[in-house]
Amino acid sequence: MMKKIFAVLAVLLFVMPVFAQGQLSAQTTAPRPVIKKLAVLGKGIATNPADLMDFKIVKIGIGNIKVSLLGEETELMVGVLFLDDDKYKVKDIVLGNGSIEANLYSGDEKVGSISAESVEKGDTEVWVGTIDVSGATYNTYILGAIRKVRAAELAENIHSFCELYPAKCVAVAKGIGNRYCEKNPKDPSCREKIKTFCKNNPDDQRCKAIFKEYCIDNLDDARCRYALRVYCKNHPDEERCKIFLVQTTEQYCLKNPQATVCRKAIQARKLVKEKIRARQLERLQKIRSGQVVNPPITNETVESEQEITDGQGITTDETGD
Amino acid sequence: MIKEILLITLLLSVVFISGCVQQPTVTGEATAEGQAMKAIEQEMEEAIENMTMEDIENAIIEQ
Repeated sequence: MMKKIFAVLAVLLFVMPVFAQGQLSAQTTAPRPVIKKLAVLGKGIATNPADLMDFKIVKIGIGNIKVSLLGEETELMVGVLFLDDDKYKVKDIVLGNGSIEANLYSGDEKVGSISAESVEKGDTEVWVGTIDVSGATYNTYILGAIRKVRAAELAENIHSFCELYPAKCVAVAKGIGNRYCEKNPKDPSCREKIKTFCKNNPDDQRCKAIFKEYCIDNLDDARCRYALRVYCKNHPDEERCKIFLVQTTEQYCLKNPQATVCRKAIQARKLVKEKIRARQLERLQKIRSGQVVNPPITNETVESEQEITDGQGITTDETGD
Repeated sequence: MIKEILLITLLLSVVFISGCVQQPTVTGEATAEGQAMKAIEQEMEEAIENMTMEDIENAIIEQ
């Protein structure tokens, strides 16, 4: 009897470390957080209008992150903001067409808020707005940082785009030399082939072209804005570039219709207003019909109620164009 | 003597097994929000590292 008990215990002592190792490796090899969207990344300055000498260096990052914890996947729109060395959590985020509003938290306590609009100044994206924190209000100017899309991210975005608009992916299917996919772009296996092709060939012009198409509907992502900013520098008259200009400066130009950049945007808006509306309607319909797996997390709406008055690269790892 | 050894081994086994099967507690950086914050902070730091107007200009021009 004793021998049997000893045997069982010995087996247990032998098996448990193996079991424990399995548990441990499952925890340590849990999927890393995945960045689904990078709304704002930048650095700038916050000044107190009441006191010239009261200013702070601002660093901000806001994005939509997919996290996997204990086997459960969740997507969170969160951010982090530094005012000099003070760190705040950015939550309750509302993204618009070129605008952002959010609350600031220190620990779990709400201590302030940020509100800003983006504007394209030359080659640079600038977020201008106010930060209210601990009873003081600062005017802030934040320069958008450069964040090129990585090859894997580009491929993932193209995959989801081709799911929505298979007909627009025929050129890539042709490019990968797959006649079946050329004729059957809706086949999921073809999307996978296109994804793999674009991941391995992020500099391919067809992949770049699809990514730009994807980006027109995802201008709340800094990687898309960067790709289009670079492209539109040399192609300002293209329709997608006009849409880019109009969308990224919409809120700023509502408040500052006389600004030089807004005069251009207002002119462009007259030309692409209907196109923007049609794209938004099409996207909304796809969301309603459940075709969009990851619906937009912005407060974008079809512009039926709110009208703006007319006064107003890729390396092997990264790509920007 | 054998009984004592058996008891000690049994106790050790219980402690060892309970340690092995204990669910990890979810606190601090281990929360979903903590992980997401950490990820976005890392992206932010990488993106703005040594960020200058010259860098921005070069990135646009080099394309």
